[in-house]
Amino acid sequence: MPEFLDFLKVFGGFVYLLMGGELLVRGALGLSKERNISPVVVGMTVVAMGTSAPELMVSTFSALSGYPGIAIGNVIGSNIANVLLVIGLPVMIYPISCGQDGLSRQTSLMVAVSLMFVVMCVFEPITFPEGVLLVTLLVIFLIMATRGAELIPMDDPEEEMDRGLGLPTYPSTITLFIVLGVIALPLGANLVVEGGVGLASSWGVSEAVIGLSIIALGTSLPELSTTVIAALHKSSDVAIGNVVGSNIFNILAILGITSLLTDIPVDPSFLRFDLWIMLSCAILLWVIVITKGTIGRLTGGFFLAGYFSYLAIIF
Amino acid sequence: MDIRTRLSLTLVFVSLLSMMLLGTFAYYTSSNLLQEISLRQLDALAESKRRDLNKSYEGLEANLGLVREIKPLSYAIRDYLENGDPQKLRTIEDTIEGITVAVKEIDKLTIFNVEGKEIASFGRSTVTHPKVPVDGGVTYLGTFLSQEGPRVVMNAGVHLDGELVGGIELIMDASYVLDVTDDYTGLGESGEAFVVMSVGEKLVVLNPLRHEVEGFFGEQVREFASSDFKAVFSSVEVVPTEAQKDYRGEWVWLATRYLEKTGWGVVVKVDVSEEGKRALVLRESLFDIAVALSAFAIIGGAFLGFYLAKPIQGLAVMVERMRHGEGGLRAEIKGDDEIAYLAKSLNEFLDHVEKEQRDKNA
Repeated sequence: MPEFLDFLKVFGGFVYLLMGGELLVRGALGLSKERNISPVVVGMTVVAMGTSAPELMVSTFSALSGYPGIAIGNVIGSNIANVLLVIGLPVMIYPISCGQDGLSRQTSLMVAVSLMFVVMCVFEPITFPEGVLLVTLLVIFLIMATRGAELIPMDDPEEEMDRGLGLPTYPSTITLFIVLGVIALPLGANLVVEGGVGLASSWGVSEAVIGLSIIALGTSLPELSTTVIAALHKSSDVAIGNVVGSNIFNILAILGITSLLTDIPVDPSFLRFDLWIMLSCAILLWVIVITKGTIGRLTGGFFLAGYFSYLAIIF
Repeated sequence: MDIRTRLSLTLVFVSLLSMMLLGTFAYYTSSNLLQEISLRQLDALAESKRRDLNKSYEGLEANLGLVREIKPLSYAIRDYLENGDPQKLRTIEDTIEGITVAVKEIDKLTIFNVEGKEIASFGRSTVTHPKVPVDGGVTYLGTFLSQEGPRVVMNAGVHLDGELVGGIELIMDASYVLDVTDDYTGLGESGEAFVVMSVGEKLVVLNPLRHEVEGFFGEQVREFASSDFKAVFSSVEVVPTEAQKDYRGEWVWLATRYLEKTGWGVVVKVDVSEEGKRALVLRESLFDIAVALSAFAIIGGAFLGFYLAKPIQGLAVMVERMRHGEGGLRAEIKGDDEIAYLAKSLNEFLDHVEKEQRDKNA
């Protein structure tokens, strides 16, 4: 029974995180539209950060609640799942071509950021100055990206603003969306962390393993659903951009902001295995991208097998 | 606000509200149940400690019973009192010395004549008390606090051939009180047990208390004593369902037992705040589960909203396409609900407009 309740908490937490993130983004987009705020500013702040809010909340909440293993595990596990699962699954439906403009630059940046993350983990804990460095890099890259440098793949703010239907227009509704989003995000994060810790205790594994697996998988679900739907519409190419963007954000934004709030100790087990898997995945994707190859069913199958083998090993 | 969001939020609000009502009911029922369990546990602990104390006290009584059944001692007492033979006095002294050394609980053993005059004694107790004449049975004379700890004093008559020939008084170590009260099993971080007795106008604790309070040394004037001290003497063996204030001024739940033979009161108590933590954990769990369960309302609301909004969006798209010049478009009529009625009305309106347009052109 306690195991079921913990599952329920994790599930409910993810639903609240998704709903909170969605409400916050829509509320902020509605506000931007009403106040005629520049789409560039919207892209940098609302769309970029709003979509990462669930991961950010889970990592921050877990680090502040004394479970840094979940915070780091979430970032590492998400980055591994993004490459092996979020790319591996849609290519089973429709292949991905890696020839988009700027993709090799973005993927190179992802490898560089991943390498920097590994170095920070070696000299653990990840502290405030490192947080400042990560967040500063993020801001610089975002500014460059909004000026057309194609460093970080981002959702198109113009497109987001044009969603029209679903964006609140009344000031009261905008306020309601933002307030509910702000309430739902920490509520969901708290449930996910509590449920995750409970599951770790029930299964006799560390919180780090739960962070690497269930929580990372849960926070990667939005990307997974987007890419699978894109593959069904025979436009899987969007998956690579999503994955690269998400992986860079996970390290720079989530880890950066979390380490601004509290020092994050790194579990030695991450340095023995998981960080290297994450780095290998980043390098593997980079190699595929710079050779401008196409990721087909065979490679996708290899990615999926790799991901499930990884899960089997950590458990 | 779009229908999907509105439905999701409404369902979440309704589900949270209903779960809040259910949770409040469950919380109060469960916290009452937890309190009842705590009180029963306290009651059981108080009963268990009463039994332990009674058993130990009966052990002391048994010591006295055994001493007065030693026949050579009884004969020596009678012969010495009848003849004044110093040899018999030596026998008495040797015997009581042997007994006092052999039985570790005995602090001091004194032999009296029938009038209560001391004949011989052995032991190192410093306890003093008024003399009480012996009668036939074992008489409890009181409990006294000495530097060495609590001491129980009792006496009994010595009989020979059915005749009272003298008396024995024992001062015995009652440190077993400490053994019984020092065991905090089942009492958590703040709970404690103590034994209190009445000495004149005061209520005095026999064992060291678990919590130190500045300026408080384990005794209170009865009239102004805290509820935990008084409870045992005011309502014997009743477990109060209301919290009481203890000697620290903290709210506690307590259970008491009164020991008839010694006049002691056993008090077992736990802090309400510590017990309340369990209810707090329960409340947090209920809240988490309610929030987690309401996630189903979010999903349900989103799906329902999507299902309801889809045909309306279809109508909007169709009108938009017609605005951009596409002609002959008609809404799909599915089912017999309001949306189908709207689609049917729209189609009829479009038929009418097109017919008028054709008539005008003709």
